[in-house]
Amino acid sequence: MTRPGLATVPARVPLRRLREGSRPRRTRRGLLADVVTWAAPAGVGVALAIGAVGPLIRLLTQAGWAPPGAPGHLFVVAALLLVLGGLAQLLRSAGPVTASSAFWFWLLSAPVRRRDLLRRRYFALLAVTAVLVCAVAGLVAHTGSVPVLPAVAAAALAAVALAAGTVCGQVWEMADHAGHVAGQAIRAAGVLAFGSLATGVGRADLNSALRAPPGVAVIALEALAVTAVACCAAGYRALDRIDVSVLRRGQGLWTAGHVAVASMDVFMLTEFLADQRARQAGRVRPMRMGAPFAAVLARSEWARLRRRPYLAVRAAAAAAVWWGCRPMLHGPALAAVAVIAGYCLVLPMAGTLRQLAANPGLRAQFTPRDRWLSLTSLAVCLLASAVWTAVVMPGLGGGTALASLLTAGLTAAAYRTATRPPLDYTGPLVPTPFGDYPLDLWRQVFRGPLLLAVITAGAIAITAR
Amino acid sequence: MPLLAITGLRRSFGEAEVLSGIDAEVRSGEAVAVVGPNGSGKSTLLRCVAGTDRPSAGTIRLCGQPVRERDPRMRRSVAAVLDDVEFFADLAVAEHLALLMSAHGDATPDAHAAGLLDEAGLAGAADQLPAGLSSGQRRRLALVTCFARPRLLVLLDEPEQRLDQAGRRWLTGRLLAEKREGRGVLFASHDRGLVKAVADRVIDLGAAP
Repeated sequence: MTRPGLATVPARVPLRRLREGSRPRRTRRGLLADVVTWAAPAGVGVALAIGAVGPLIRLLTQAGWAPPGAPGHLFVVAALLLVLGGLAQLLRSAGPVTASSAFWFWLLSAPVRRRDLLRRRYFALLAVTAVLVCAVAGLVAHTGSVPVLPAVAAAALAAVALAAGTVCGQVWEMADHAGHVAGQAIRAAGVLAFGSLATGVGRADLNSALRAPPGVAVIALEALAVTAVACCAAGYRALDRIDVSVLRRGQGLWTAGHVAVASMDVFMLTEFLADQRARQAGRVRPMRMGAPFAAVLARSEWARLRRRPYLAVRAAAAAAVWWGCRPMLHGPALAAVAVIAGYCLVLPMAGTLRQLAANPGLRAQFTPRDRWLSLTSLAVCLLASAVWTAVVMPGLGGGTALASLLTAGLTAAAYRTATRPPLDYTGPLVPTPFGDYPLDLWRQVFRGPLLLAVITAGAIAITAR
Repeated sequence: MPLLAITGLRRSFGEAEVLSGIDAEVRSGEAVAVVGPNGSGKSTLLRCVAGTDRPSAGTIRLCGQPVRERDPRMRRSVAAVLDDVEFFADLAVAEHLALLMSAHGDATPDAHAAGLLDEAGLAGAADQLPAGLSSGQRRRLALVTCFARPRLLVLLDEPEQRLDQAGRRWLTGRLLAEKREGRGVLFASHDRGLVKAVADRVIDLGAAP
């Protein structure tokens, strides 16, 4: 008997039955058609997984790629610190336990224990985080010629602790603040470790200190395991305290990420992030534009750059990391990393180009001098490419040919990516298991990354000579 | 010669004919309103005039020349606010407007931008980034960008949307000033007060198909 004003809390099993009963029932023929459609990709996936077993065993048992005498332990710790710091920031921005609008609208308003609804998402978050970090840690440990299993175990435990800790941060402000500071400290420690690798300051001492005896490594792993279990339990208990406003916080980022992946357009995500930053910025100090028009163009680009100081910090960190990788990687691999890192740094400079290309209305405002705006943005990209080339060239060798390729190629790749017109789906369609696919779509989507691949191949070829 | 002459304009989407044989003209110093229920083709008509949509049949001439969106002279003569206008995300409102005015040859863009923002009631938002503006403020800024550049013809699609009463009064005054300064105005609207106050003639597109 329910007292007036109180709703009964439905039991878990009938609720599950109700949810399952609401799903449309499939006919046997429909089910068969689905199985046939998915059979081919599933077969390819299984074959790839079987094929990967051998290389994986070799990865776990054989020596890595680092040259003899390289400071592999310091490299692995530095790289894992950066990975974990980045993970902490990503999880904090994205939620990490989040819910789609349909989910929170229909289910979270129901009088059901919130932990029952969120439990599956929480465990999925922990599992996915652990698996992804394991894969990266395995690759990093192999690159540094360090025993793979302890490195993977330590990284996975730390990642699980971080993920569970950020769930606590969703509920308790103090935990969120602590997580933010910890994430920044981990990233800074990673960059400093790469700085030590690059400059040689304290490199030998740190490397030998990190080569811990087996007993110490086991104690460290046990401590990490205890921390991870404690964080997981605290995170699980926190699920009941998560409210809808918190669950919605990361939804925008997830949606932007989902749209960016679905439309294969990274700017969908970066524009969302820029929008968020602009909302947080509130008021800024406007710059006097003055005259003539050429000076106005330069001032407008300077105003944009001045409002994104994190780009300079990111570039400095990238330079430290690249130079830190130098004792570990061979010439062609270093060249590939230089090209891809350069592309990631130059692309955000092409914001004006991107906005003009994506918004005909904005371009029309500035007609007929919209081209000058595009050219100014391109000049900024060229300048950024030249600076990055100047930073990495002393470590690469390769002479004028490689320097020209890097400077011109990075600018061209950023230009191609930024000026991608809205996607055109009107070409001929090819049937795939995932639906009809416009044949011309891949060329439109990859117009920038394809050029980047060509430039990377060119840089590898030059450095391998 | 009329500033804008539309003759026998048709626009179909598949079998659905949205515009069927529209004839209209706008003269210098004249405002023409396009009215009709949702789906009657007001926005389609304005998009065809702006050159962002291609008519199925008929001609549109601006100063006697056929409208071609690719023609820079045509784009320079027409200032349009048809959909939601985008702004540079990293530039403050005042900077965006000054850059726009400088691109159109203004030698003192900062002072003129400040004046326009003051007139539009956006002086307090001059130092804000566009993402921080409310939807009504964004609408005002979009309209200001239209009035900040050289133009012979102004095209506006439901310009009163999201504007408060003060904003609508400013818009009415601004459109009347456009007429006084000898420019043509073609606008679609659901606001009877705005149409009555500004329009010299009305094109009624009637019922939705």
